[in-house]
Amino acid sequence: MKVLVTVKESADIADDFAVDDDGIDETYVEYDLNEWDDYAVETGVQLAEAGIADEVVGVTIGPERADETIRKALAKGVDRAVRVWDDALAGQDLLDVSTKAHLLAAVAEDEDADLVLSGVQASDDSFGATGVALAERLGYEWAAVVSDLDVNADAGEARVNRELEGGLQERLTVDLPAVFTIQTGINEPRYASLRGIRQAQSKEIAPKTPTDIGVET
Amino acid sequence: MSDGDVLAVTEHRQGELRDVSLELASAGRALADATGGDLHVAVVSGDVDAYADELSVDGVDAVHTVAAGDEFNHDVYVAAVEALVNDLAPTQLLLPNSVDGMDYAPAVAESLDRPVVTDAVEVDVTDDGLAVHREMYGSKVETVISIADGPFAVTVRPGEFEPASGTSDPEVVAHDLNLDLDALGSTVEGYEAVDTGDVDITEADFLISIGRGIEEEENLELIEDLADATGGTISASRPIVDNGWLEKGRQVGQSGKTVTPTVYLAIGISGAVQHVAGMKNADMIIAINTDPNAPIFDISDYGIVGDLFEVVPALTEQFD
Amino acid sequence: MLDYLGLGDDLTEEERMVRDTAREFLDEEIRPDIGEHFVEGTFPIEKIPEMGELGFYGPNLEGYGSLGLGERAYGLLMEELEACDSGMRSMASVQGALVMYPIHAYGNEEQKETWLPKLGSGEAVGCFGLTEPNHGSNPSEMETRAERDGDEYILNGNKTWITNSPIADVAVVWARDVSSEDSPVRGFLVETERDGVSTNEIKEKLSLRASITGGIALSDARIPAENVLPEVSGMKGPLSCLTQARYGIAWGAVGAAKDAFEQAVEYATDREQFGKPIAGFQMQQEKIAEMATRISLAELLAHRLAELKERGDLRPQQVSMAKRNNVRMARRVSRTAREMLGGNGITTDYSPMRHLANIETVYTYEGTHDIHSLVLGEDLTGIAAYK
Ligand SMILES: Cc1cc2nc3c(=O)[nH]c(=O)nc-3n(C[C@H](O)[C@H](O)[C@H](O)COP(=O)(O)OP(=O)(O)OC[C@H]3O[C@@H](n4cnc5c(N)ncnc54)[C@H](O)[C@@H]3O)c2cc1C
Ligand SMILES: Cc1cc2nc3c(=O)[nH]c(=O)nc-3n(C[C@H](O)[C@H](O)[C@H](O)COP(=O)(O)OP(=O)(O)OC[C@H]3O[C@@H](n4cnc5c(N)ncnc54)[C@H](O)[C@@H]3O)c2cc1C
Repeated sequence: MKVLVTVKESADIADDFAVDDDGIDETYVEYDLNEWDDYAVETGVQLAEAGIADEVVGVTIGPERADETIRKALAKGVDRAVRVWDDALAGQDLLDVSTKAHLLAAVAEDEDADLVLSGVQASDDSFGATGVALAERLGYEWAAVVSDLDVNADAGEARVNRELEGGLQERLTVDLPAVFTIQTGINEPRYASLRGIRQAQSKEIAPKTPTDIGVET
Repeated sequence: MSDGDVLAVTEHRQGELRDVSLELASAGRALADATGGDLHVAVVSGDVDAYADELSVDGVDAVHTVAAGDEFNHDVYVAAVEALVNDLAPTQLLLPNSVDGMDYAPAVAESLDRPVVTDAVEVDVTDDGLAVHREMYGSKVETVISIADGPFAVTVRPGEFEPASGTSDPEVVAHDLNLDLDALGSTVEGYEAVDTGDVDITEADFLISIGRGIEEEENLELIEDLADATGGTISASRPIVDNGWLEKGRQVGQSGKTVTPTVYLAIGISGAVQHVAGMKNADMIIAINTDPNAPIFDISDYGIVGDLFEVVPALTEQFD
Repeated sequence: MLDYLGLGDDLTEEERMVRDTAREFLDEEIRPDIGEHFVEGTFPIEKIPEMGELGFYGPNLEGYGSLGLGERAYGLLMEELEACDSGMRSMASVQGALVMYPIHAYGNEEQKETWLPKLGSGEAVGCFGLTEPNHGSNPSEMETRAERDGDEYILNGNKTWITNSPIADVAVVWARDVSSEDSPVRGFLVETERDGVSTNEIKEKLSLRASITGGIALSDARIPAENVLPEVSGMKGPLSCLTQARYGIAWGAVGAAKDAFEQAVEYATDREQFGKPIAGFQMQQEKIAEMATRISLAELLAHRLAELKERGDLRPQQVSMAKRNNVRMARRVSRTAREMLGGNGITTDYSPMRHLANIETVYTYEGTHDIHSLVLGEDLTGIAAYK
């Protein structure tokens, strides 16, 4: 089966940052792979290593700069990636949940993904909504805040733990195809190996515009 | 229904209405007052009649009940909230930003084609529509998102709004959705409580809580020394537990324990909302952090802006 | 870390990623304990396989499980390793440049297939036996000998100061093949578990303590004749390995110096005496300026070496120049950094003194500083001055 992992470059701001009318000056901002997505990537790669996933595809919405972040996911074992962007998107201050869900859904449909893994939230804007909105958009099943995942591709379902408040775990079975938003601690994300880094250089990051994937923004 | 109505969807678990439900009621009342509408409150699944009684608090104009199954299931919630929205056409839809809220609110908003803003800490009505205050960068920055008039959905951060209280006599309307519960795409099979380990941090008087600022597992020794010197009990933020450096039972926060010690000493903890949810009711909060902008200082009674690797040994020495 | 000349900006994405992943691994897995390893005189042996999985051993070799990584990226890896501790870089240098390299360059197909993947993944550990108790700077006078006996060689002799010999599975032992004409120096793959092979650990080191060092004693050790490295004969064999390793040292020294520098600057801007940070005094600023300049120049040298090596134009003498210069630079910088930390500077809480102690080894091994002066002297004048 094919797994799609959504990854986002997330901004971290320095301790001594300053805010002006335009927001936070770029000099205080550093970008890295979103903490939660790192766990989602690891989940996807482990599914591939277990022979459950045939292909793990990464997708991001972001400018060219985000290639560096997505390359990290490729170095950790994601097979190839799609990056969606255009000037219109660049012109928006903040992408709303629905726009993101539309764009990611178009890619998921394009790729015919059986399973989509997303992070619970992005560490910068903390919306925590993209994965579930995406599932709705796709008409897939889903579970949010997943702390344990056991995919049974043959049975077309997954056994999942959702981490609730107070450390309580909810056990459930979810039909596939599905979107899961992955919680930190579900696994131990690997370091990118030199082999992975080398292979990542020749893995494809396909730049696409919303128009390419049939979305009007 | 008049324009400006608010529908707030409550939540419950294992037979109890969750705190955020009454907070949603008060947030909803404030909004409805500002826009001149009514406040509708909904409760889905479980013993809805009992919940409806509990939700008959000040400011609630109507309680809508949907009896379907016992516990939360997002397919049921999505269907129920969609049906209620179609029926009541509220301008504003308020949902909890709880773990269950995260599991259905974005889907509801998407299917209703309403813009959604999550994790609101304040919602104001302005001339231009709605101003939703929320936090970014681990609560270091507050942003305001404006939504022009029109139907929308907002999820509300638990613990930010005063719970509604008092009693009232709202109209209680039962809705029957005729859902086929066997045809749902996901089935909840049960719950597991987390193994708390040997120490119950909720019983401790003095908690010494450690976060990612400690950098390395080995450095926990510093904290153990302080705990030995002071008789404090060690707890932690989530990343420390995720890394396997301390057992899950030591985790404070939304997905860990809620603690109310006499003194909570937060060391190298930024004060992310999910952490604060578990400790903000401590009698006294003291924070040690190198970052003067760390949100933990916003809720601290005493703060030390400094490097824990210097401050902690110095503290230990004082007690030794 | 210091990048005064913005060399980092010109790195390729791959090079940056190699540097970053090494840094991340070392920060999280090694750095926290390195001071303790130094004090205890131990190496984080349990991390050897993980470093292998990450590709830290011989990644610049081609084939047999190696990655064909570019020389600059390889250099950056060495820089990061040594910024953590010279013991870490030594591990990777020995395994990659001194053991895998000669097998790769001079071994036969079977030797390559047997050993390279295992050494690359860290499943097996190798060591390089050249130095002997009586022959250090002049290894060509080595006494260890191999005598042909049917399908076997019989080895006799003693090697000392051998990094990793006590934990090695295989040693590349350089010995005189007395059964061949003129008794040329040849390389032998000696499995350490064979009869007649023993290794002892040298414990009382005051330098490179987070690295395991020992001897190899060979007494009538029999190895199959096919364990000889067939493609090289003479001192060119061991010396060509050393050129590879010294290239890594030229980069590594920059890492150690940068780490010491960073700690000194951080400390000096924080530590107050006479009512202000010590970094605010001119004398300290001069030290900082001098350190930054020396580090930056050494770094330029390393980058230039990478270019030459990448296009196949690097001469061993150029490597000698860089090893000599950069290690001396690291020795000076770490000493200055140590001094700026005052009393705290002599503890394991800070890295400069550890680097300073380590660099004494680096100054000595892989050709002492003096020997490299002689190499350069000979190259520049045409007159050899060793004897
Ligand atoms: C659904 C969900 C549930 C969650 N549940 C929980 C939960 O139950 N509990 C929980 O804690 N988190 C929880 N989180 C995670 C939460 O969002 C944060 O990621 C987490 O709390 C951050 O932990 P931290 O403060 O230790 O780390 P960080 O946010 O990384 O903060 C580290 C702090 O240490 C400071 N620091 C660094 N070095 C030093 C030094 N030398 N001296 C002093 N200070 C230093 C830094 O300035 C920083 O403020 C949850 C997240 C989600 C999405
Ligand atoms: C921790 C450690 C690890 C090591 N690991 C290995 C290893 O893995 N494998 C290996 O084979 N070896 C290894 N060595 C050995 C190292 O390469 C030798 O120590 C080095 O070559 C110097 O030899 P020596 O110690 O015998 O010193 P000597 O050769 O005796 O030199 C002593 C001094 O005399 C000077 N000197 C010598 N000849 C001349 C001359 N002609 N002109 C001017 N000055 C001269 C030298 O510069 C030096 O200052 C290691 C050494 C150490 C300390």
